[in-house]
This record gives sequence, C-alpha cells and structure tokens, in this order.
Amino acid sequence: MMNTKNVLYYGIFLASLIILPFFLNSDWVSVMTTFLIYSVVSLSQDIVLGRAGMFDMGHAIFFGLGAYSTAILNMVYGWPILATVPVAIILPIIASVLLAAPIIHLRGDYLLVTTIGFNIVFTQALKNNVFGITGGPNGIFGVEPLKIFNFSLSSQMSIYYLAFFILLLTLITIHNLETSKPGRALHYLNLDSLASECIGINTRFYRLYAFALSAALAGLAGVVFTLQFSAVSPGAFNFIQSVLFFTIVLVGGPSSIPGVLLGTFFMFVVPEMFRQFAEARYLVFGVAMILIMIWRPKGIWPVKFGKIPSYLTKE
Amino acid sequence: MALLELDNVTKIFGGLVAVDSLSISIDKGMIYGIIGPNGAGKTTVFNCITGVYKPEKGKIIFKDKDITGFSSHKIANMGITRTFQTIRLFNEMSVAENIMSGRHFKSKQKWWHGVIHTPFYYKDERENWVKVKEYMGLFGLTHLAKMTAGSQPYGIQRKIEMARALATEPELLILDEPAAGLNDKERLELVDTIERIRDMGVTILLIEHNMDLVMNITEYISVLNFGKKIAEGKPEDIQNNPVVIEAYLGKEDEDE
Repeated sequence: MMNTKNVLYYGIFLASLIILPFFLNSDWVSVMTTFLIYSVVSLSQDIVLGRAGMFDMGHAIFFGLGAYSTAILNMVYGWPILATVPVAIILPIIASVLLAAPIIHLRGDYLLVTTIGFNIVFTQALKNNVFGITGGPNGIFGVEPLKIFNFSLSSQMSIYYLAFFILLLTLITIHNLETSKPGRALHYLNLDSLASECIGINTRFYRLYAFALSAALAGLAGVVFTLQFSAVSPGAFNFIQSVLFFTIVLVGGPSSIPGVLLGTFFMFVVPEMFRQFAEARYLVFGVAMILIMIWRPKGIWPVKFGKIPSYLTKE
Repeated sequence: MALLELDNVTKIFGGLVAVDSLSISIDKGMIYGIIGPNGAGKTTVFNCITGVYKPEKGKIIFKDKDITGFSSHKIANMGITRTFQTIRLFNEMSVAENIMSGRHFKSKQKWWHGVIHTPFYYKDERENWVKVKEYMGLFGLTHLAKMTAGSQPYGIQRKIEMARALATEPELLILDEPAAGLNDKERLELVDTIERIRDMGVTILLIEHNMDLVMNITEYISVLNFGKKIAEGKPEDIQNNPVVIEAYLGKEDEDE
C-alpha cells in the first residue's frame, strides 16, 4: 500500500544509488559498498529490534555466520561462491532459531545480556580456530570473486552493484513484511504481548520468525561482505559491531526504513567524509548521538503507522 | 447444552486462594454476569478461562473440549476472546490496524507471505480489510480509521477494544468491566452494543460493578466473594438475596 509520493521517493533514492559510482573514485565506491552492505544488516536488525521489539545485541553473529560460511566453503572446501549462498542464508537461520528458542520468553534486558554472551562466545570460537577451519585471529584471506557464467565480479564497481542488488532485495522483502499478516503480528506482540496472545497471535512463533528472517538477510549481507574484502576476520563480527547495528536502529528510527538507512549513513559514511579531523570526529559523533536521543527519542525519522488501504475510509 | 463449563476451578497465589472450587455453566447465546466485591477473584477467573493463568485444580470445558492449561492464543483461536479491565490497545497504531489484529487467525496468510506476495495474499488481505471496515461501521469508528488508537477518548478506546475482540469472530466474548470509566450516555450505548453482539449469536460473559447495567442486561448471574461462589440465579433473585446484600454492604450487626 505505497502511495505515489513514497514510490517517487524510493525511485529517486534507488536511481541515485545506481548512477552514484560514475561520479566517485574507487575509494568512495568502496565506502558506498560498505554502506549498502551495512544497510542490509541494519535493516535486518530492525526486524528483530524495531518491529518485534526484542533487544538482540548479538546480530553480528548472523552477519558473521554468513560471511564465514562463504569464506570457509570457498577456501577450505573449494566450493564456487554462488553455491555457498544458500548455506550462508540457511545456516544463520538455523543458528538464530536454536539460539533464540530457549531465551525468547526473556524480558528485554535479560535477552540483551544473553545475546551479548552469545556474541562473545561466537567471536572467541572464531579466534580459537574451531574445527581448524576459521583461520584463527587473522581470519581467512584470498576468497575468490563471484563467478556468474564465466563473468568474474572482481572489480569494485561490480561488487557495488551486487551490494545494491542485495539491498533492493531486502527493501522489497521488508516492504512485503510490513504489509502482511506476519509483519503486523510483530508490531502487535511488540506493543502488547498479552493482548496479542488473547486475540490469537502465537507470539512465540512470530518472535522466532523475526529472528529467522533477520538472520537470513544478515547472512546474505555477509556473503557480499566477504566478496568486498576477499577476507573475513573475527573483529568484523564482534560485540562492538552488534552494538553499532543496535544503535543505528535506535538513532535512525525503529521500524522506519528511511530512518534505518539514514542511521547507517550517519554511522558509516559521514565519519569517512570527515576523515581529516581524525579522532575528533568521533567526539562530535558521540555528542550528536546523545542529542538525537534526547530531542528525537523515536529516531531521526520516526515510523508512521496508519498505512491502511484507501477503500477503508471511502463509502 | 453448556458452551463453557467451569468444574471446581481453583487458583492459588502463594498462600492465597484467589478462586476456590468454582463451578459455573454458561449456555450458548446468553449474557452471563459475574459480580462481587473488589478482590473477589473475578478477573482471576477470566484469566484462568483465557489461559493467562493455569488453574491448580479443576477443569475448564469449552464446547465439550477440555481446554485447561491451553495457551492463550490457542484458546482465542478456538473462539474465546476478551477485553481487559484496563484497556490494552496497540496505542501507537491506527484504529483500523488495531481492529485488523483481530483478523489475525481468520486471515489465512502463511509465513512466506511476509516475504513474497502471491495473488492469494492480495485476495486474503482485501477480504480481511473489508471485514475491518464492517466492524468499524458497526461501532461507528469509520471516520477514525487512520487515527492513533492511544490518543482517542476512553469511551472510543473501549469500542475499539470490543471491535478488535469481535473481529476474531468469537463464540464467547468475555468483557472485563466494560462500563468502567464511561459516562451515562456512553453506558447506554454500551448496553445497546452488548445486546447487538448477543443478537449476532455471540455468547457474552461479563464482569461489572455497575449494578444497573448488570441487572439490565444479564440473564443469569454468579456472585463471588473471596474466590467462592456465594449465590447464583436470575438478576431479580440476586438483587433480593440476603447473602449477596451482606457481602456487598456488610452485616447489619457488624459494628456492635
């Protein structure tokens, strides 16, 4: 139920992302690629945190599982990259359901602490080279580029467009989620879990659903991350990264697609723009975050409800 | 035949017996009232029926099926929905979206429709929104469809909550103090609404403090005090029952 104004805004946004690389040098194309990848992860974090309202501060686990699946299957087992994609999606789904199932009933703050614990265990496992395949603290280097019909997507430009494609897919998925029964159920159980149960919503199922869907998208983003750097290392998926995704959603605006995109832009692209100010930029950054939370507690671009079909109000 | 039957239901919190061996039987199509002084255990009974609490002893039988200990959503999907004493709406969302939540179980969308929209999705989505429109019309809420539910006045919020419960197409509707906080005009409207819902074929079980309202619309009443049923019968019998009067007003010689 998108109105024409929204279609126009999204059209302009996507069109500018398509033409952008032609005006940028390769360093900036790389920055923008990172922006696209992290946008997907932040939007997926938003499904759990913003929509379903669960304090998941271990989202880097699912992002990392996707990235490591591709890297390991390619480097250790010699799979072509394309064949690793289903695994990089399904493995995070399985992991998210297994991790979340026993803790899903916990209240916000307890869930938060538990997910932090999971994240720490995850990075420790990567660092300690479990099963001898994760490459230890340095990670895995030299992952092959993606090959589709003998075309090798190795240039920065081609990876940019791959990341763009993944973001487009994510936006479509989330738009579909937003306008469907499962998507609405997430909002209901977030706002009042008891009332939701009493009108027949299986809150436990939909909480796990939120985790599984968001893990799938984060895993997919992980594949592109591995291709962008041809490498993975534990540091990219530690607890601090999870905090970053968590913050992006809250600062940008929970459940708001433009909000989360803006939040990612401020966290990943703006710091690059002010590189010459070295460490001072982080001070400005921290203060800006505090002020946003004080003045706009619902985020830079808060979510608007009430997107209902027009035939509801017409006679 | 009884639609809902409570057989010796007992609920204990710590050492406190909140509901004590309560047995009631509600026939299909009736308006049944539960009254009693504050803290008599009325809401606890509702919470036991709707699966919020699991009773320690006894059985709850709905349509000849033992539903004791079922989870709340399962009970709701079997045809029992409720409203709350303190209104529980999805405050940030619009009135229409609130009522749409009641369509959750009736909507036949599967989990993958949250990812991919099929032709079936569009059909199902439209059918359910049209139902929402019907319920908004029934409660006179159509002009408020896009408004935020939480910012509506109290009387309207009660209506939204009832519309949401009714949108699940229940067989038994449980109302927990529906007249609390309403003014006289709103209360008259409520009586009218409850009777209209009954005429739609929905059985109603209600808790109410407002005696006028209870005596007016219910066909049968159970009186609770300290978790125990102290009387039951038709409204006019209850009104003159000395045990009930004593529970509400105290014994005449209590001060002596």
